[in-house]
Amino acid sequence: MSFGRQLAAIAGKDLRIELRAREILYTATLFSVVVIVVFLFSGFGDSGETRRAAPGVLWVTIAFVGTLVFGRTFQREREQNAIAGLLLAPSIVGPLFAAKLLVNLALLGAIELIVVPVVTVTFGVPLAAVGGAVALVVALGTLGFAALGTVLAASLSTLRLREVLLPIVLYPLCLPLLLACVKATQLLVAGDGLGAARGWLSIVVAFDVLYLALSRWLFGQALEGSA
Amino acid sequence: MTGTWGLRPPAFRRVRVSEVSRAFGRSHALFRVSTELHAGTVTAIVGPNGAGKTTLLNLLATLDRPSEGNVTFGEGAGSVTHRAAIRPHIGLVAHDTMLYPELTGRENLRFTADVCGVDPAAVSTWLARVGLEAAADSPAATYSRGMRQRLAIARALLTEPTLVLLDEPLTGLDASGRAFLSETLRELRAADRIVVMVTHHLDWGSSELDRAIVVARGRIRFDGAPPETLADLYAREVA
Repeated sequence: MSFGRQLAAIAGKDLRIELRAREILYTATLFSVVVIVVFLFSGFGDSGETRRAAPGVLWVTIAFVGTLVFGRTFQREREQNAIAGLLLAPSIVGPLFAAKLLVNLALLGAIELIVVPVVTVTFGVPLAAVGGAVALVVALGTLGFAALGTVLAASLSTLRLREVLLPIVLYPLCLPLLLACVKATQLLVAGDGLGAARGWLSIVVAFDVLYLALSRWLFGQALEGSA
Repeated sequence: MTGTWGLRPPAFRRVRVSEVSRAFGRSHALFRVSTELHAGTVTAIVGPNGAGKTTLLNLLATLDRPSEGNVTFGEGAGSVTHRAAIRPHIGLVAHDTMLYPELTGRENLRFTADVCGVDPAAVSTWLARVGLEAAADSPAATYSRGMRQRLAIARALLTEPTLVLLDEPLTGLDASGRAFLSETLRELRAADRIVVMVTHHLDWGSSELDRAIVVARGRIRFDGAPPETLADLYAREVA
């Protein structure tokens, strides 16, 4: 059985469903814009203060939107108990984890393509000067965050209070990663460059590796509990 | 239903359920249940609501684990209890259709073919077999309950499984659907498959079934050749 064929089938199916339903992209994008607007009107003083708030606003928005995306992508497998059919496929755990992670990254990435420019522009961050470096931090941070979100969404998918439990479990576990992302983004927004942010970026990469390994290891057990 | 069946030989010829119990908290859904299922047979499991029928089916499907006892697939030295090795040989039609309503009938079967390593050409064959050619490119969400059930049956049989588990397969099916299912059961029997069907339809009988199991309060009350209809058996063992 081909890993690639299974991965492509699951990821393709999820993206096709999302392109038809558009429920994750529309709701999550609208939600993220509302969060940004609320922060924007919360009474920051001068432009420097507003700019210093941008990294926190960006990562809070990504964290909020992430739970919407992760929960929904796995919930689709539960609605008609399609997960039971998937579990009967040969050697499915690896391809299923990879596919769900890729879909979560793709959907969160699509929303970030809107969120990052909106935050940088509205909070007075010079996008042209720091946009590339910020995009790198966002990409690296999103990878570890999505890995942890993927396995937690799978393991909580059978529970009645899954929508409440996912952020309660996910946020404390990925807090070190999010804090490192905020600090790295803060240095970049302040104009200190990638060199100054290297230490925080190393921490982000380390958490990516840890969360990816842990999530892949736990995903099989999470699936068995969701059948 | 027309066409060939049994291109893939059965992977095993017996399933043995040995002293299996399944507890949820303090209550037992099944208690020390033992039985054997053989290739080329169609077995019906009947019983009142909450008797443990679906729990037994889920244990056979390896989607649940017994609290005690074990389920063994195959015979002697070749027997297997490892779930990952067995699952690709199981076809399941459950209470839920296990379909994606946003996808068309063809896309649902193509998805199953891709994740299970089945030749995509089999998709059109199965759509024709279950009479869904005309609706194949409409979203499954627009199907009637009977059409969704036909698609669910096609999805379960697409991989030519050795162990076919059907939970209330007649749900939503009309008279032609019932005839299609009877024909399918005959083909599965002829192809040496092990078929287990949970049903509340008591008009099935000895002409379609090789065996009947009556479950009540988590225990097997009867296990043997069915009488003329399941209704007679049910009235004797349960009512």
